[in-house]
Amino acid sequence: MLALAVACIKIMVRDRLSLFWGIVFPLIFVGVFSLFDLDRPPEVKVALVDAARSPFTQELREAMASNELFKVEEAGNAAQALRDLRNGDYGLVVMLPPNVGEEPGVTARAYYSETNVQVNQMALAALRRFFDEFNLQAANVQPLVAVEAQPIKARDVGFMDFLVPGILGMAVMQYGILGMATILVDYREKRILRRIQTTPIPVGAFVIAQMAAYMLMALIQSGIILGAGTAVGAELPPNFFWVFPLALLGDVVFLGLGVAVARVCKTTAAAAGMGNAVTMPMMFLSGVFFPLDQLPKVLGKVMEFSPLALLLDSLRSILLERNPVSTVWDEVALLALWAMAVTVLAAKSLRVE
Amino acid sequence: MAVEGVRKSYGSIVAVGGVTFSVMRGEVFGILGPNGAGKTTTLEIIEGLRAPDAGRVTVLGMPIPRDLREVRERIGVQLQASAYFDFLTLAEVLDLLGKFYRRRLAPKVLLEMVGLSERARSLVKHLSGGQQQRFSLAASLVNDPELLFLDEPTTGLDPQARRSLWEIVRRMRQEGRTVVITTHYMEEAQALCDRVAIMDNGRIVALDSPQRLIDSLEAPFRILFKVWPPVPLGMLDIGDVATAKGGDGSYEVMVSDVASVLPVLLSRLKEAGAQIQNLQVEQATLEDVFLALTGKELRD
Repeated sequence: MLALAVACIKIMVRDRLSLFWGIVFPLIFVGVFSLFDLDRPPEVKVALVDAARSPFTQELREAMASNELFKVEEAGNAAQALRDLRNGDYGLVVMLPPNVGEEPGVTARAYYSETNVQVNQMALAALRRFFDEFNLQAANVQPLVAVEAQPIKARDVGFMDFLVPGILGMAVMQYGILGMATILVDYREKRILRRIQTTPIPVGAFVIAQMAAYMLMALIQSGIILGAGTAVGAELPPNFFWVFPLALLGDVVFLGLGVAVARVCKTTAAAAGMGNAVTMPMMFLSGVFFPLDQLPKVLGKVMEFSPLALLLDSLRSILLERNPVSTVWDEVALLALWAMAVTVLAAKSLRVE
Repeated sequence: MAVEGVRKSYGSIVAVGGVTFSVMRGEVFGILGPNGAGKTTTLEIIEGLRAPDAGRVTVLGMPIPRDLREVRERIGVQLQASAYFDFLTLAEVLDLLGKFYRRRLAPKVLLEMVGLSERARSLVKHLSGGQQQRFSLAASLVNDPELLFLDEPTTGLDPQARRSLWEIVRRMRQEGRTVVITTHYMEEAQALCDRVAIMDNGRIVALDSPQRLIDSLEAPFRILFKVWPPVPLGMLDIGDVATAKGGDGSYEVMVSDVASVLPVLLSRLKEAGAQIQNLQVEQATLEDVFLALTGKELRD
């Protein structure tokens, strides 16, 4: 049995292509995402059409330019500025009327393009706040109450902290389901499973050895991805080692699903396709990249119980929210249920020919 | 090893329709038949890979499937068209397979047996077709089996590779192993087997030594000749001629008694003024036996 597992590992390590998908590919994900500075809100390009050109508007322009949210450009021609807005060159066009600053109650107009959805809400809110503050300052009024933002987390949580557990879960899932499905179909096609059946060793033992090999690889994957995550800015809590048993438990589910996928596929190409058909939706709908609450409510509720979502939930609870492991027993129990159900399914769906 | 009344159907297709035979210790036993005759299914039932619908199988004196595990310790199986792990070397595959058995031979010894010693560190996928078949044979010998099953071991091989495999099988026999081999090459059965079961449509139509099967033919000899000018086929209608065919100068005659036919044939050809360009007398083959028994050619 041990000899079998060792042989399986040798094969997996020598199979450069599948090793690429299992380890290098998730690392590329981590690397690519670390290039984006997702923790900083995006800058909004503002075209300022100043019809007054007074000392007052001069002051307003300077105040606006010093606000880190805005990148201010002066536009002489209002029509041209609006055209540029439509083309997406600007996020906002702000028009100051000629009498601004001379009498109270003057309205400045802010134009925005409805096609630029992500920018609008944030940009308009920021713009309103900016004008409120500027008004108070200009009128020399001390605000009665000021708000100071105070994060309740004791530390700064970056997007990488959210993403690294996601990538880890994704990598273990993909390698587990796709790898197991394709390798089993390959061995069936080549009649290696048949050949093993002619020996005193049951085919089931061989499949279990193969699973053990994948689980060892899942541990290595987890270690490498956590390492790469810390290298690009994620921070690990002291009890991060719980990630390893959690990844193993998740992997049992994924490997079992791989065996089930192998049953219905005749060729390795079909197994890869079918495996992707299972892993892709799970990847996007289980919160690898985006939190589940951004999904439609019903779908989000359902996907909460997918094995990947349960795994990610427990991983993030420990890595991101820095909870003790005792808070994830619910997820662990549900994952264990999955593992049992899928193991039964796998045992029933193992096919030698 | 004994098989009694074994049947196996898939839906309405009868793969094996009641087969009974036994194999003696130390013999090379051939199952000869065209593709789809039920050879492989029969073999897989004996190996315990498929359950028969009816019938009994005993291997090495032990009933299948009851003692399957023990039987598997002592038999060697080469499957038709099976490959091995892509990313392991020959020695590694043999080492791994050996670990499945109580009794095992060292990879070095096995590779020597099939003449692949220098390739111990190659990957299986880098072997030629003939080498792969030899390796597959080595893999079936890892547990030093008493009984060896070879399913079409030479299919798709060139004549030289085939002969080198035959040599190995003969050596297996000399070492006292029993070999059960399926093939659709009649010359292979003739060259290797002590006894041959001829299968067609899931049944055994004949079972004996190749020589006796040929001797049992009504006309166990073939006379081939070329003459010029051509003679009419009717001229070859001589007492002991069973069948005559050909034309345009080339003829083939199956006869029961060469000694009585040949003088008559020669004198008739001389009378007709036909010049003999070529004349051969040979023994009939298992191909002829198959043709006589089933009315069809062995090769499709």
